[in-house]
Amino acid sequence: MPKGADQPLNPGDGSGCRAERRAEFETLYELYSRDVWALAYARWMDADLALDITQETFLRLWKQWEAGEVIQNPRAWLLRVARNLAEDYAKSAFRRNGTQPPEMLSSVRAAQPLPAEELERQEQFAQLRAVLEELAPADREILTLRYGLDYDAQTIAERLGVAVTAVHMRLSRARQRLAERLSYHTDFPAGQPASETQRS
Amino acid sequence: MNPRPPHRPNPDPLDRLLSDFFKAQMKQPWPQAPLPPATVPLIPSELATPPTIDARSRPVRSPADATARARFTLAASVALALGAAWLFTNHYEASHTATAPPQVGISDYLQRGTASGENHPLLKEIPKTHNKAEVPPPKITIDDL
Repeated sequence: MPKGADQPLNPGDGSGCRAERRAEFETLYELYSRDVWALAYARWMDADLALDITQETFLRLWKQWEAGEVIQNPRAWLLRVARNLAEDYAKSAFRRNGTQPPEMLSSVRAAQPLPAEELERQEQFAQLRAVLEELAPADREILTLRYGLDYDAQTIAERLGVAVTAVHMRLSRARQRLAERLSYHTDFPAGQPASETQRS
Repeated sequence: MNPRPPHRPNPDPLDRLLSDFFKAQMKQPWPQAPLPPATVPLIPSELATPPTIDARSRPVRSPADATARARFTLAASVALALGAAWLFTNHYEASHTATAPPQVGISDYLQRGTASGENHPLLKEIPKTHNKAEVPPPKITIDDL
């Protein structure tokens, strides 16, 4: 049975069987890798970078196991490490001197010609990305959890450690701010902020 | 009794756009868990073969070997520097003592000195030079010119 988020984990104890350790590692990855990705993505709005941070976070978890360290709450540990890695990236030389992902430079992901519908979709995504980047990271995070991972309000509340009512409120406000900015910058119709609360 | 309205998963265009956007950002299929470092061999199998002339086939040193080699080099350098310094110092002292003439140190003057300066060796030499100054100059006559 896989260990949950609230149980301390130390695969170095007991038999130390590598296969068992690996199985627990993969279980944790299956459980929390998307949460870690969502956190990193909400911070930088870069899917590939978020995936790199996710992989690095789990590799560090494995190294901690190898060092024999007991991790009381793996999910909290993973999210904390991912947050630190995301912040470290802000200080890195690559961030200061590096380039931007192609979709941020030209709003088109690939150089190959795209069908008209796909092109229009990519353009919409680029506008949405620009507006999302203007939002606070906390707004982006809750939107990512809701729409990227399809979590309901209860799950988001558990993930963020807040009350369900707070999730409804934050989600509604984030969505409203997004709709306002989107309608201001583009011809996208402003949504109804109350619908999100009803839907959740 | 009113009929239940049909379920619409994403009635709002903004919801639909957000859902499509975030789903498009996530990798499909979701990547597998990363391989832990210990399962990745430090030396690839093609590099682990016996060395040949080709430089690409040279065995790669593990990080531990590289560290040991660096430490050995550092220790050898320090030992060499210390040995050279020791040799140079001994050689210099030996040659210095062999070639330098015996000298009267300042401490000798101080030990033999008195308040009046009667026994001071430097003062004893003064009358000699003074007497030399009293030697009458040679007389020059017209015949010499």
